[in-house]
Amino acid sequence: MNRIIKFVRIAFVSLTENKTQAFLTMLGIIIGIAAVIMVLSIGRGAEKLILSSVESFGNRSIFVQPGGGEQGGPPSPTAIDKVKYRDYLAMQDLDYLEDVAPILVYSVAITYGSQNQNTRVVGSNEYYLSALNSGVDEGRNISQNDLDLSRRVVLMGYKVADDLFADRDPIGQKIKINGKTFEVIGIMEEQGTRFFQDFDKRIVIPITTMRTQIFGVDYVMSVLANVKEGYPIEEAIDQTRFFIRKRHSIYNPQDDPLKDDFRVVSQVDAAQTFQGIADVLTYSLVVVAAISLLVGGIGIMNIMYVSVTERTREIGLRKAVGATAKDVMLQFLIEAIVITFVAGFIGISTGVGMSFLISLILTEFVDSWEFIITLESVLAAFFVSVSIGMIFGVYPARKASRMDPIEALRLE
Amino acid sequence: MATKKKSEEHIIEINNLKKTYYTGDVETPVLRGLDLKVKDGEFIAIMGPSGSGKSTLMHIMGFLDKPTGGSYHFEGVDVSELSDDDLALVRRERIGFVFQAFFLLPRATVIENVMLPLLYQKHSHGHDMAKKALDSVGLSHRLDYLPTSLSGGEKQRTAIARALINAPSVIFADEPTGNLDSKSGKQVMNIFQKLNEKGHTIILVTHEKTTAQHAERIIHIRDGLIESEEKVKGRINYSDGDELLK
Repeated sequence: MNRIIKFVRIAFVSLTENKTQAFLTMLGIIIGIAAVIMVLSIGRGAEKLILSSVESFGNRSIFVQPGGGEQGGPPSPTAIDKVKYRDYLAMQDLDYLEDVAPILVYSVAITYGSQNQNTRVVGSNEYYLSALNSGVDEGRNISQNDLDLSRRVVLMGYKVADDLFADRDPIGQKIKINGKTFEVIGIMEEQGTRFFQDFDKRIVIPITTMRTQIFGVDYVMSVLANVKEGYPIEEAIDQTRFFIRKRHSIYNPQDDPLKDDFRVVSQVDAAQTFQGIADVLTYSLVVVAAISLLVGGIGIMNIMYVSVTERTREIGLRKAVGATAKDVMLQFLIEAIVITFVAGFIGISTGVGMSFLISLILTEFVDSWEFIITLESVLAAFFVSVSIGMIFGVYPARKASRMDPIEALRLE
Repeated sequence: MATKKKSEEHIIEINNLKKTYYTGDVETPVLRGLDLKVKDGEFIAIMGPSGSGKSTLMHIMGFLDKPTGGSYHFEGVDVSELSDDDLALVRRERIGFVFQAFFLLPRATVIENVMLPLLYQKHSHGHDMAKKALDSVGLSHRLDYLPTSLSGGEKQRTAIARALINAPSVIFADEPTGNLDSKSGKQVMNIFQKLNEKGHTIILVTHEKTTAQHAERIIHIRDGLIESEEKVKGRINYSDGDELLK
C-alpha cells in the first residue's frame, strides 16, 4: 500500500515536471470527458423540460392529430390537413369528452401604431385555456358569442403585450393582424415553454374568425379535449379513434394505426415521444463522446509506450536495485491511471463549466431551462477515465515489466 | 540466507558455470565452465578484454542474469534455480550495483536517487539512512542537488551511496572509474577500499590495470574461462594518510 502511495506521488511529480507534454497527452481524455458531462447535462435538462411540459397539461387531456402511426410528434407534411374542422365540431357531441378545443396555428404579422412584429396566432375556442391548465390574467376569455359572430378579438401572451404596450393598459387596445383590426380582450396567464415553444409569445383569436378572415382552411392542426372524470382514458382514446375512423370512412378492423390518417394520443404518450427523441439524441451523443474517449485512450497508450522506450535505462536501474516485474508494471500502470485521473478531473471541470455556459445561453431561449449536473454522471466520468488509464496502461506497463535489466542497462 | 559476518567462509562459490546465448540457431557460449570462489569480505577485481565474459559473469553473480549451466552458491544457498522475483528480492536485500555510466535518475535529487532502492522495501527511516550513506561518501552537502549539477565524481559517489543504502553483502562495480578523471577515480576507489574495510565484499570489473591494483586479488578472464589469478602485490592503498575525501 505504502509503495502504491509512493508510486502515485512519483507519477504526480513527473506530471508536474512536464506540464505541456502531460496536457497534450491528456487532451483527448479531457475533451471526451467534458463532452460526456455536457451531453448528459443537456440531456437531463431536456428531460426535465419535457416532464414539466407534461405536468403543465392536465393528465386527462387527449389530442387528435393528423397523420397515422403509433406515436405523437409532428405529423408528416402530406397528412397535415387530415383532421377537419367538422371533426372538431362533431367531437363536441361526444359525451365522455369535455372542453373540446380546436387548434389551428398560423404565422402572422401584427402591428400596433408604428410597431411591427411577427408572431404565431392560435385559432381556438373558449376551452383553449382550460385545456392548457391556464387562464386569463387580465380582461376576459373568448366567449361563445365571439365564436358565433366571428368577432375580431384577441387574447395575448403577456410577453407580446409587454412588447407592444409597455406600461399602457393592454385591454381595449386595437392592433392589426395581417392588416385587420382586432381588439385586445385579455392577457393570458404565464404558460412558459412547452415542448420547446414559448407559449407566452402567442396570441389567440376565435377559430371562426381565423377561418373566415385570416387563414381559410377546412382543417385543424389538432383537437384537444379532456376526458370526463370517471371515464377511463384508454377507453376514451379508443372510442374517439373509432369515431373519427368512421367519419373518415376508414375500414380498419385490425386496428392498424398505420392505416389511419389521424391519431389519438394522450398527454403521456406525447411526453414519451419527446422523451424518446431526447434519449436517442443523448445516447447517440454519448456514443460520439465515447469514441473520442477511445481515441484519447489510444493516445495515452501511445505516449506511455514511447515513454517506456525512453525510460529503458530507468527501468533497468529499478530492476537492478531490486524492483520485481510486478513493481515496474505497477509503477507504469499507476502513472497511466494518474494521467487519466487528472485528465478526468480537468475534463469534468471543463464539462461542468461548459454545461453551465450552455444553460445560460439556453435560458435566453427557453425560460424554464434548468442547469443539471448529476452526481452519477460525474462519478461515471471519473470511473471511465480511470478505467481508460487501466485498460490502455496495461500494454505499455507490461512491456516495461518484461524488460531485461541487462539489456536495459547496456544501452549507453 | 546466512547472516553477514566477516569470516573465511565463501560468500560466492561458482562451479562449472556456463552461459550460452542463443540467437536463432546460432549458439554463442560466453562462459564455458568457470569456477570461482569469493570469500566474505574480500575485494576482488575481474579483468579481461571486451568479449571475455567478465560482464556476463558479474551479471550472473549480481543476480541480473541466470546461468545456463553449472552451480552458483551465494551465502551457502544454491541460487541457480531462483525465479525472477526471487532474484529481484536478493538484489534488493543483498546486492549493491555501481555502473560506469552512473545511471542516476535525472529528475530526482541526489537524496531521492539514493533512496530509490528503498521504494521496493519496507523502511520508515529512509531519509536518515540515505543521509548516512551520502555522508559516508562525502556528499552530505549535495542532498537536494539534481544529478546534472554534479561533477562526474560526485555522480559516481551518489551511485555508491545508492548501492550502500540497503546494507548489501556484496557491492558490484562495473568499470566505476571508466567515465571519471584520475582524481575523481582515486576518490571513488578510496571509497571502495573503505567500504571493504567495513566488511562489504567488493567485486570490481575493470580493464584498467591501475584500478584493479586497488583490489586484493585479480581474476583474469579470457574466452569465458579463468585464465589466471593473482594476489595483488604493492596494492594501492589510500587509507594511510590520504585526505582526498576530507
